[in-house]
Amino acid sequence: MDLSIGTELPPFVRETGLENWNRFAAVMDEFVPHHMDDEAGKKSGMPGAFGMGNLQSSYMHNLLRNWMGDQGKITNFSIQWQNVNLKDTTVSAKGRISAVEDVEGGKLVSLDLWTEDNNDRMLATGTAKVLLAA
Amino acid sequence: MSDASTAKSYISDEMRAAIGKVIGTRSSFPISASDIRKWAIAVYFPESPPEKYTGAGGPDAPLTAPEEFNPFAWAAPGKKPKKPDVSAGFLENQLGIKPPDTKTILNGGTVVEYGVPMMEGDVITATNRLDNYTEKQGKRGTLLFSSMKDEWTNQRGEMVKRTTSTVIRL
Repeated sequence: MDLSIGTELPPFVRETGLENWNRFAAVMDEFVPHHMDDEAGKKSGMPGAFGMGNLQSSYMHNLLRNWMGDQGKITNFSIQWQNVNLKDTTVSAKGRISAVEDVEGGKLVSLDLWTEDNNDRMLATGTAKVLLAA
Repeated sequence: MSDASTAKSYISDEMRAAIGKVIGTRSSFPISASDIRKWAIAVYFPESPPEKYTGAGGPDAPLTAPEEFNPFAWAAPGKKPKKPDVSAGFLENQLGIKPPDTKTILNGGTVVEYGVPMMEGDVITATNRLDNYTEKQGKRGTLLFSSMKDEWTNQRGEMVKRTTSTVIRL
């Protein structure tokens, strides 16, 4: 695994829309009209229905889990939401290594995270620390 | 930028006195293998989630939940179905104090520290506290930052995660 500073993680990419959001609503009990109905989304000032902020968080976690495998443990995570996930857009969760530290039990890797859509809109930014076992 | 000495403050004495107080505590039902599988299927859709989230589970090989799994999403002991309070005064309403006179609420982000993973069969207890009120001056006037700390532990008292959530009001 390349742990050089600046190394980008393989992105986690999803086509997003009601199929994703309705499934997430079902496990989060988050049946909010603007996540399910275009007219409700328009009333919230958006072009139509839009996705849940917490699903962006899950996509960032998926990105980390796919990259680190079973030898890694997420120790810290942060997220700030920037823009809503509009319907029928492609969302990519991405990450870049910002620091690596030798610690007891392995290497502690700091990462910058973000999600963006295919229209170059930044949806969320964040950070994480992952402990990679020696 | 307003002069800090004349800028409006939203933080009342009553709000200041509430800093550190418990907003609420709750415990989950035991986490089921089915809950874990469904969560993983939803967040990895349309691809299949990793096997460790979808296996047979059971006492000999309990499933591990994804880090961001929410065991309180649906039913919890004592939880009654109700419409969530999405008003700008939702925080003070829970504390039983007068909310600040703000009109707009924004999500200021979340910071998480993870401890031991959540496993099938675990019962999670959460204690949510009012962490702090701070203010900054912005282009639209005074911004009120309210942070809440939610600490989750399992049935052995082990720390599962600490979440600091911030809302911005103006």
